[in-house]
Amino acid sequence: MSKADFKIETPPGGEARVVSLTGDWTAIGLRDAGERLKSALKSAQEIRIETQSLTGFDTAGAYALRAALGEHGDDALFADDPRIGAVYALIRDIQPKVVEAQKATAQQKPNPIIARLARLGRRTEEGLKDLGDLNIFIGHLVVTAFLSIITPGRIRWTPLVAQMQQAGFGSLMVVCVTNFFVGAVIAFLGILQLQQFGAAVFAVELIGISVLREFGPVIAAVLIAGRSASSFTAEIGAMKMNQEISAMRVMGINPFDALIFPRLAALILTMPLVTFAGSMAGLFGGFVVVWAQLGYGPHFFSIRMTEYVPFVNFFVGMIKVPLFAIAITIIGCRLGMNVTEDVISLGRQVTRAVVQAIFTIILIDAIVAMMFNGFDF
Amino acid sequence: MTEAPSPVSTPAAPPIVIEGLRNQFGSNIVHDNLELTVERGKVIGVVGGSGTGKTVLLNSILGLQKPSKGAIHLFGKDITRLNEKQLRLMQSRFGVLFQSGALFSALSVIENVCVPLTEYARLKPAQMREIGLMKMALAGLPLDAADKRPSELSGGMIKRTALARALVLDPELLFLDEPTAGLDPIGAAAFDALIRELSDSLNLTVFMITHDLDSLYAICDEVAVLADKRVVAQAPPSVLEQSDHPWIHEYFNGPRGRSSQSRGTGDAS
Repeated sequence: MSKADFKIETPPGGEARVVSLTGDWTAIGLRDAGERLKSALKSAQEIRIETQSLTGFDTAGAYALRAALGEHGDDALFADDPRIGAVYALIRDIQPKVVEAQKATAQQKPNPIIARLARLGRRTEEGLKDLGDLNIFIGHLVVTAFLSIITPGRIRWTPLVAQMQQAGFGSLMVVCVTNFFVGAVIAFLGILQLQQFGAAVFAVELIGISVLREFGPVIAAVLIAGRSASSFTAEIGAMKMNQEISAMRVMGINPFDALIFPRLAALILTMPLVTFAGSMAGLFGGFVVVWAQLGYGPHFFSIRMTEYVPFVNFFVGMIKVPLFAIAITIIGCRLGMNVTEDVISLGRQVTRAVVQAIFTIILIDAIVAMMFNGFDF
Repeated sequence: MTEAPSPVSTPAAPPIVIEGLRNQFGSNIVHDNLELTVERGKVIGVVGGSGTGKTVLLNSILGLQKPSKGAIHLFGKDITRLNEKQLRLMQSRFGVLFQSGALFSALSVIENVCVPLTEYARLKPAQMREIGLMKMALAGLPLDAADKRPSELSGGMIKRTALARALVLDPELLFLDEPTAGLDPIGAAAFDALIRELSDSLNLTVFMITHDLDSLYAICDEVAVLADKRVVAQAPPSVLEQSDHPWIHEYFNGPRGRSSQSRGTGDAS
């Protein structure tokens, strides 16, 4: 591939300058040849073009040539070479329009401060509208849930059971394994610290309280948020893109009945069970470390656990699980319904779903922790 | 270099030569012993019933689908035997308009059009934008659409943007997969005229898959008919009307075929 170039000669006696083009006047070979030619031809009166040594010519080359020739850019220049003339003729009238459009976009650039303020305003408006949409969505969901409870005939059992299997029990393994390790790590660190006061045995209470009250529920919820909030958004969003939601509506099927309530019910029903299993795995992880490090066996561990860890911890832990389930479903399904037609918005909404769901879970956890602070029975 | 995309140099080898192509998925044979030659500067339409493997054929030629048997020569080179670098060079010589446009949804119209330029050419951003705008104008797009997103475009504009992108490196060979599908008749006719004009002035070879009989009559020099796992006929549409192959006969002489025929001859007179 040779670079585009040119030679300019002024034959003695003649007025016209002869420009002979060489190399590839193509998008790939062009580089800055057009600009150089333009500045070389600034003061030219009359121009003739030689194309014999041209090895390549395309519309990009024609464009650069047209821009360089300016007012001399007449079709007659290429009378000797009709094929190049045809390409050039195609571009001749387009080039001035492009230059004009370039100027217009340059003029349209608004003041940066105003642009920022406008963006802030637009974001605020979008945020408020989003909040309104969230309320509408929750309203729809509450009505659907209420109607489903008083008339169970509305409930679609097949998707409900499928979602229980997929979103609920499908996460059992990963929740249990994660909790097992978290319980073990708490036990390990707890023993290390408490041993300094000769109170290593209190590690059992530490494990019991932290796993039952906080880690079990929160870890299960975070994992399920990562798995299910994203898959709810992706599934519903893909259906939305494929016009399946519209097809449902036209057939008189309410998407809240068919898609969203089954997911909500499935998570509310299965998440407490999964959380319970996860908490037990966490306790078991703690127990394994206590046994290995301190030599207290299963008998001692279970007695200490039942006598010294108040039941309220388990209660506070489990009471927030349905709240987590509701948050995950609302966020996942609503953002899925927000997906518009392009693929980018699907990806963006899935990301938002996971981030928002995990954030909301931590927020709910903090609120519940404050509410039950000092609560005892 | 003689291989430069250029209307000046004309290497002798035809743009597409397919010999003994066989495509097989499991026990399902889509193509068997398929032969097809496309001459330089011709606009060839490929027709065939649903499931005759038109898109599979296109994918094979583009190098997206490795054939089970046979050879595909583009500009005299067997594409199944090219290495990575040679394949890239080959790919810069053809442009593809996919059925649904396949625009990159993260990029604006002008950025979409300029993608091949940023990959292959070394140009300044402003220069690149100008060439992109020029291609948009060639493809019949309004220039103020340059900064729109693909999701804001109508079906016809998506096709035109995809055409501008396919043309941006001035390919010698243009592949079109159902270019007029989903366009209204006026838009489809304008698109046909545009392709014909570009192929004439840029000396393009066009390989076009289509179901649109009007397109066949309006712009195709030749029509290749895919049936019975191979190309059963390759001739101008007026010749194919006389064919006694049952599918071809049905295709050209059915109710839709007849109306296009009368319109096609009406244009010619």
